[in-house]
Amino acid sequence: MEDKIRDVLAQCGRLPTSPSTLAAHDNLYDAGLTSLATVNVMLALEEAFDVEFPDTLLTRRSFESIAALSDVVSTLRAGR
Amino acid sequence: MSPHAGELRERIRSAASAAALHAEDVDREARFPRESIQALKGHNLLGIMVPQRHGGPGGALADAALLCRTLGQSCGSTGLIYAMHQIQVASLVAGAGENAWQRDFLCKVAQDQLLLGSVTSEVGIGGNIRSSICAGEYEGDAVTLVKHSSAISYGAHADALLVTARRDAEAPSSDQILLVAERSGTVLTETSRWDTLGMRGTDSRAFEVRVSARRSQILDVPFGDIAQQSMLPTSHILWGSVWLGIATDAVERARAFLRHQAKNESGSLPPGALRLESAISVLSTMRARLDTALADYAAHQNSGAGALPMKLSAELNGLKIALSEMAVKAVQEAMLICGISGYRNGTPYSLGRHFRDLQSAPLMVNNDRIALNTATLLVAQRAPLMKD
Repeated sequence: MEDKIRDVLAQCGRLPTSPSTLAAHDNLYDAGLTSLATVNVMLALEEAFDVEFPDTLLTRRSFESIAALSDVVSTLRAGR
Repeated sequence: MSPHAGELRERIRSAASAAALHAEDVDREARFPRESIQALKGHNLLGIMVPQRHGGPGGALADAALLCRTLGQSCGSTGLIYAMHQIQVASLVAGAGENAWQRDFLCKVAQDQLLLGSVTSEVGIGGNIRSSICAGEYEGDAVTLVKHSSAISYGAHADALLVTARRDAEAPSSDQILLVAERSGTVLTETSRWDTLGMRGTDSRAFEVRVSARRSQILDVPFGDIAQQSMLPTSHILWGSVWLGIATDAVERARAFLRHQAKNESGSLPPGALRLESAISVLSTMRARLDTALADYAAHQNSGAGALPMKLSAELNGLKIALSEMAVKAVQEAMLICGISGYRNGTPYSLGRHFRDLQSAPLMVNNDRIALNTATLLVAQRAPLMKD
């Protein structure tokens, strides 16, 4: 799952460095993720994993790191 | 409102009177409103939002908003300086954590009524404060920093400056710290001065900033979090309060003009009178939106949630856009009511300063930039647009 998330970040995250160089707990915002890119990443993740982000999970925390995204996506898949 | 509300209102009124007395001179000379700031210090109003646990009065954002509005009614520049100072206080309160130096500094802000300024702009980064070029350099416990700032408002008059920078020389541009630079450890070299249409008393100048400090002066909380959770909500609410104040004074002058006309013309009003209804309606709408935003932001802070939900960020962006546009509309209506008496300087109904000061509102962060960012946030939301 983390690899798929890294792919999405590579395509939509508009990060200055490649997501493959980021560790699971590295802060994505510090790595250059903007609020705008966050929305694009969210839409792409919904598409890739066939889930829907509820508004309650639309906060900075969810998108803080690859590990955080992985947790959120797993939770959403389990609840589906 | 906080306890001793009546007594607080008196102090606010007194400081606002000082601001009103010098507003025209401050604007004409483009000078720092030293008399207003002195009055605010004398009435212990600068430290109003320092929490009680840091030795301050523990006032709420709503108290600061009332002050911004009241000061704005007297002098737009004083109101805006006061707002900018409170934004720094809010950022410091949010970012201080358990750091002893920072907690002591917050005590000093309240005790000594320190004026705080902001150094977020930097030559080469345009309007995006979430990006820095300069970086902190460390040697043991010491940290130094050199920043070429394109604009520091009232920088020459601040007791301390909150400066953004990259965490260190290796950090990416968005990995930023916020450092509290005391005036004594900072060398400011003016590189240019702004000559602006309005808000001329904010005395914005470009400076080269050289800071010598200790590591303990760097806020523990990353700047990105402070910006999103404290700086942005506080900025939009307090700037909006200043603009409402300026617009209110403009419409008060328009109403006074109409009273004067009615007395002289035995009851008949000039054609522009019908605009008074729409101008006052605009003020009511501004007030309602501000009160809602204050309540929503306070509810969020009480929930202890930390990061702002995108929905609240979008609301606070929308607030800034709406208030800036409405304030400009209100002063335009007032100008049409007062006619030449409003257009001329030196009459009791003069609106030039109000008009020019409010032209800054749609530009301090350009509304077009904000609208585009906000549209993206709004697209992401699933909840229905209208609450029950």
